[in-house]
Amino acid sequence: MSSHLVRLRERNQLTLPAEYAEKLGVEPGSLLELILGMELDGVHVEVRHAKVVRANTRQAKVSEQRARKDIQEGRFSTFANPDELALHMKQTRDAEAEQLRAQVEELQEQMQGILLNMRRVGAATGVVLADVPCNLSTKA
Amino acid sequence: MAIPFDIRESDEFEISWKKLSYEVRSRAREFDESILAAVGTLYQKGPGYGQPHGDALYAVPLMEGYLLVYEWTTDRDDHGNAIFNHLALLPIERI
Repeated sequence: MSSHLVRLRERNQLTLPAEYAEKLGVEPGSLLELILGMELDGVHVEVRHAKVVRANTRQAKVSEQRARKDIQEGRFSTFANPDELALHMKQTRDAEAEQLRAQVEELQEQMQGILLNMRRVGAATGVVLADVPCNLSTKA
Repeated sequence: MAIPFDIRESDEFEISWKKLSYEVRSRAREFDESILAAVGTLYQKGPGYGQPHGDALYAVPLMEGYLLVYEWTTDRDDHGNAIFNHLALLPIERI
């Protein structure tokens, strides 16, 4: 993470420092996407290199052809109405969240194991690990 | 009254949805809501809603910067006479 102060000029114009432009892979004429985020600790603006894909480009057509092939070969789901689609999307999101939770818990268990080993080594060598938290669990 | 139809979601749609959800990150909920709102309107308005987008394709705006592209057919399903209009494609494109 690095920060850089820039001064806003007339008509809200600012200059993107060269280092930032290089890191983003942009040059004059590139399209940038500004994403406004409202967080508890204030307003954030994220700048990203926008990739333009228009209708009838090769990339769009490839995706369309893939979808057509999926349909022809039976790789699709059918929903009778938007509510069914909404339910499917919600279930998919819930499953992703559950998977993520399981991964976090697994990582926490691994960390607990590492901490336990560190304490054992500490006890054997006389090194005190005072700053290491006793419990990494995020559960209430 | 709108013509009844089924919504077909191709694997490509699903892949695009997940890939772009990762891309929009914290706006994923907004992204989902915009897809459902577009599908809801499409469902009510029927085939042909949106902007023409090539042969038999139409585009419906989603969250800023994204489009939902669909095609419709006059095929009929195995169980009845409903004309279905399938959301075959979802290159949700940046514009």
